[in-house]
Amino acid sequence: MTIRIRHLVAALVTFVALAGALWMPAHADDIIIKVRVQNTPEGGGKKQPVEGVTVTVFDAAGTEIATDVTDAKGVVDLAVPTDGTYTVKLDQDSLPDGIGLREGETGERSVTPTQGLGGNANFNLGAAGPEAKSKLDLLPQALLNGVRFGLVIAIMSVGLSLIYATTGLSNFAHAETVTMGAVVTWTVDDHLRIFHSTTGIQAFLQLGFTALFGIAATATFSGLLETGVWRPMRRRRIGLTSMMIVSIGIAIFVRFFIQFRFGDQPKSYREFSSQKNLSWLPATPRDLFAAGVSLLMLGGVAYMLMRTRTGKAIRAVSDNPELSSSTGINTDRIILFVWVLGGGLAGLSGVLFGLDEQVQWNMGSRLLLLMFAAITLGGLGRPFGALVGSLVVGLMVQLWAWLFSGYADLKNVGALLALILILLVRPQGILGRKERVG
Amino acid sequence: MSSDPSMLGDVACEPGATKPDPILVADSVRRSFGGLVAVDVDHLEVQRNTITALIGPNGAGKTTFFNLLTGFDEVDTGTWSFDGNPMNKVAPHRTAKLGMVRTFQLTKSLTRMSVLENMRLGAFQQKGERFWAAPFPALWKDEEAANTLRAEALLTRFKMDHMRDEYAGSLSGGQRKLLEMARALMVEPKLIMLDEPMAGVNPALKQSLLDHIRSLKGEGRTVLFVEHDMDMVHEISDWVIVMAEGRIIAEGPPAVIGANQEVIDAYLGAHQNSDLGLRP
Amino acid sequence: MNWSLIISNALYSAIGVNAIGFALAAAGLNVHFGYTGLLNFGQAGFLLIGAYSVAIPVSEWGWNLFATIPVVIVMATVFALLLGIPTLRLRSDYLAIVTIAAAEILRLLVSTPRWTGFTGGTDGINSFTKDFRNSVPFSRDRFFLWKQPLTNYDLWIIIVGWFLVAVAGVFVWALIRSPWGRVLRSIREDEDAARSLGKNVFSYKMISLVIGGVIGAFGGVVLAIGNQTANPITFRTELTFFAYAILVLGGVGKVRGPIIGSIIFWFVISFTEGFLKNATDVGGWKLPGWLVDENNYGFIRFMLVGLGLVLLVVFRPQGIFGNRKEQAFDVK
Repeated sequence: MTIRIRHLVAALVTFVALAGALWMPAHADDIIIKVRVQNTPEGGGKKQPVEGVTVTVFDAAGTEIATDVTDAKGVVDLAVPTDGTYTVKLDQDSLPDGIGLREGETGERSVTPTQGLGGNANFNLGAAGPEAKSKLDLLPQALLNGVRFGLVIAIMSVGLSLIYATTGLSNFAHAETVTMGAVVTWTVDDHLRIFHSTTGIQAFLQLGFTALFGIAATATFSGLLETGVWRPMRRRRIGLTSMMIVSIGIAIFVRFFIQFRFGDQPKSYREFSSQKNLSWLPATPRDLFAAGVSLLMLGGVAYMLMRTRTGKAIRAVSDNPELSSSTGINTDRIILFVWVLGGGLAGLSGVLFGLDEQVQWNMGSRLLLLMFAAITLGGLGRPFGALVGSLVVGLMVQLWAWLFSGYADLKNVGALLALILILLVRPQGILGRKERVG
Repeated sequence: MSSDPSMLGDVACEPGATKPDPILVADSVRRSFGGLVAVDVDHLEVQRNTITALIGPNGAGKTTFFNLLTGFDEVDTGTWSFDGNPMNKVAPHRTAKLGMVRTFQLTKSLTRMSVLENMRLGAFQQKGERFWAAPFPALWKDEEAANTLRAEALLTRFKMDHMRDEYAGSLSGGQRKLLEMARALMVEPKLIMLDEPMAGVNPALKQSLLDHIRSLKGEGRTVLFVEHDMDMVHEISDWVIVMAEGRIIAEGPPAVIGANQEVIDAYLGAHQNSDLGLRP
Repeated sequence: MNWSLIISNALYSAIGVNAIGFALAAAGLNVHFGYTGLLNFGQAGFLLIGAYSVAIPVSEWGWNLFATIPVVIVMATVFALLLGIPTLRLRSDYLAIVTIAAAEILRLLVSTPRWTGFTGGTDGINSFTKDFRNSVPFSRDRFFLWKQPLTNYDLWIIIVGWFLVAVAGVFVWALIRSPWGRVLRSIREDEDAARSLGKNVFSYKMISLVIGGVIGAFGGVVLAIGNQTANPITFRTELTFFAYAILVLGGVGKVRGPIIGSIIFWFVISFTEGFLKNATDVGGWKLPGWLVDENNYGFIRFMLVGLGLVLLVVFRPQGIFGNRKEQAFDVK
């Protein structure tokens, strides 16, 4: 058996060691439901916090769990012991004079808080808010969300695309690499705190520092899979279909391993847990940070591909592996480089996506199809195509949510349908070369 | 030596020459990849019931031309007809049904099927290949038996009958070439197009392969083949067509082509060391 | 550790509704992937179509459950055509991506709260099995498989289910040994060769996609009737991946492959679960809590699926009982 069991074992051991961080039990904190009571004065104007309102939380059976009074910011935290659905009730008698419930307001909220994330209940009292914003006013926000989402997908899919270009493998385990990056970073962040503030520059530094662990973990994992699994399989001339199925096996293993150790509840990074939009842009500093990092990384990859020796070698290997190895390029080393790079980028994108949404076992696999859609749209095996395809997919998803706001839960359907339609008319993808694809 | 003066004797030795009874006629067939023109054939006729060789240096576009003619690739422009049927946009399997069957430069033996299964697959328009008939052996048993007999006869002729039950994947490169040619004959083609039939074939087998090709002509078939082995071209072909850089640069009987300076230049330009073997 | 219960549970799983449903799913995949070489990663979509084609007409329009069988066949055929027309002419990885995307679209469409009245949303449809219950022929209402009790309904769906598996198996066997099946296998080996010999590759692939899809859809029917629910959570992409694992386990490109594979798969899954449940339970012998506890033991069996799939493809691509020589896996 030419497959190097030593490497396979090494890969497994390292995987376990890396994921060992996950072994440490997460903090079993109470779950906090944050209740906010605000009042809009008659005649409009800025919302103001309402202090001294009594708020009570009941569990599903109607048992009272906790009760407290809002502070000067109109906020009160209520602790509940476990996940589940709770009812938050506002005591109308405790409202200050002159402030009442709006028409149709019951003074009750149903909340389903989760470990790590907690829950929210907001009561807006007084005069009804301004008319809902018109659709057109929401367009810039949707476009911006689309670009942001597209950039995150782009970092994932550029790696996936490079791997495809150099090895021909559609790597289904890429999604789990993304998740792993986020999960390792979350776990390290939970245990190893250098900066304690969860906002401002300290937060960036803390998260940037812990993200290095996540990225290192995924890059190493990816590289070890190459030396322990993919390279020996290539040597044995095992077909790409078999390799694809092996990647599915790895994906399944890692996906359930993460559920096994990390649990299946979503968790948020402590940093930037609440953020306000900037005054000049419908985006938070966190969003800008994520988009900035994405752009920097993508720029770096593009520069590497176009200008450096390694980049040229990568392009040569994608064009023709046999030819380039006969011209003195060390194909195996280039492919290893691509795996490590792709793994690291996936880890980074996991952290960014975890910031955007939450860290959860299926965060990567939820995006896998969008990644495939992106690289197929851009033309399989073309890294720059993957970038364009990602932006298209990101925009499509967010514009769908904007256009069919009633069907926002189906926003991924739009992107996937578009993928199928584009394959019908332009099978080589948007940037793909026009050639026979069959 | 095998040329038949009654058919091709009066044909002019120039590119695009008209033939008395062409089975294949191509006009302005062009195909480019990116900026590179792979095939650019103004006019070509292949005479029925002859053995015609298509030669040319590497990269001359011979295989691409084969692919275009058989529907495996799409032309940019151009028309061609086979046996009177216009062939533009005709799918590869329909091409085969019309009687134009090709083999491939890199053999496509079906590795996890036995030699006999490979052969039976070639049999044409089988009832048992229809979905509705497939589950009812009574409908196709007799036909299958007849096809098996025919396959065995062909295998015997190609001296492969002893390996009928082996997986095609276990054959040597030369044996695969033979199998592919025998399989193509199961289709009963009018025109058989062989892409480098001699490549990788054991020298001991070569002579019998030449005899097979000659006997195809005896059966009334037309043979068009791409080949680098100039001894073979010289020995069995009635007519030679020379391609270079996608164009047809010369046509004629082997003896005439061997003396053609343009052809020699084309070869010398492409690879200086090749032995043409064509010079008389 | 209650061994007799663990083992009788595992035996029940090995022949139970899941084993049947997945055997049919894998049998369909075997037609696609094993015989034709089509990379269908959306088999879950076909099963979903099967389940909802029964559940919706019964619960919405009051049809008799048995009258929905033609709907299952028609809907699976339509889905196969929709998938096949754009992709079967393209390179095989496009089919993989489009099928996985299409299956996911279907799952999202039946999950969305928009059409809960019709599809049941994330709760699925749960009240459509009356006719099947009425067809149960046994007067006794309780049976035992060693220590495992099962109701007459369970026994009846198991009998009907394995009958369907047998029918599908014989049908596939009859097709594959025919000249038609020979063309299919030639396409798996090299579709250009098949084309050059005058075979209409597209049409063969399409019929293959339809047949494997319809067989898979009946897997969905069995799962829905057996579990008495048509629920989107059943039809996640994992279903397709597990069906591939089953196929590789039992042997790709062999009629017996999906059946053997599914029986072993579900035995191992259930046995592992039973063992770990006992080994993390209060009292008696226990595995250390830092390693595994009663909250997370359930994930281990699926980790084993992933690991098993990798090891099988790398070391025993012919399946656990196949011999190396007839390895029916891609060798390109």
